[in-house]
Amino acid sequence: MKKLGGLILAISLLLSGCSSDPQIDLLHAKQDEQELETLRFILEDEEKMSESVGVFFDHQVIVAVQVHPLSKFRKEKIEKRISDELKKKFPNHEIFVSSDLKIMWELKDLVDQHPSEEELKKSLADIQSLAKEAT
Amino acid sequence: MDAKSYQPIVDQIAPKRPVLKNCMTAFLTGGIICAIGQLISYVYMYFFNFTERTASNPTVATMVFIAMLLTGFGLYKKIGQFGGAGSAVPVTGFGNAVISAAIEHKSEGFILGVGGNMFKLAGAVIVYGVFSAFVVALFKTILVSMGVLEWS
Repeated sequence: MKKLGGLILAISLLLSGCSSDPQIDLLHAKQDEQELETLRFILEDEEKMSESVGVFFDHQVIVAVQVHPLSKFRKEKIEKRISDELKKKFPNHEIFVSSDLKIMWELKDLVDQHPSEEELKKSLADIQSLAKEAT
Repeated sequence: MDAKSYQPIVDQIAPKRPVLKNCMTAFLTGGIICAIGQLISYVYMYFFNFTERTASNPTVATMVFIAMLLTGFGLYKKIGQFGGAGSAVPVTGFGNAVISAAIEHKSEGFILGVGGNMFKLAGAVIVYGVFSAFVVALFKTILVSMGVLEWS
């Protein structure tokens, strides 16, 4: 009986990790609601994703995504798919999509801090240099 | 008694190998080692400027270092007895192989003993690791120069 209880607990813990809705945090330096809505729509459309953060700044869109554990093997494909879709929707923006956890953490911190434009510029440059393994 | 009739008697008398139990303990041990590794890589990502991709190098180094310390203190032996392959297959087994060989041959002197035998087992890993990496890189270089693949 005890074993069965343990098994049920283990399975429910395992499954509860997959059931939550995707969380999307967005920030726009110029507060353009329409662009934010477009980005939210694209990100919500991606069902393999568990969490995402997006930042608009000076004709740049920087997006970090986290995919479900079982989709981790196709992480790069999902990255590319989102990037292609964003390029279509924002043709005059520079697109940067990453599925790296570190970039996700850094971007999330940035969105939570509500930084000034100067800080945003510096932090985004830091994050991009991180992704290029320049640190 | 010839070898043919001897073998069934051995099979009859020898204790049965607990294959399933061994698999379970190996799975658990390997899993715990990997979970610790994951934790260390999160620490590197959270407190230092490492990304998911670059954090793997210092994580491997740290895990090997921890395994070397544990081997020196005689603790890895106990983990190995419990976990079997689960403790040998992760990268920590590599650290254990180096240090245990070094300790074993210390009595033969530092040059011919420790130096000569340290990489007895781990040397094969290094040689084949480096060689296969070279072959894969060679193939990729050829494919990229032919335009089939891209560096990414």
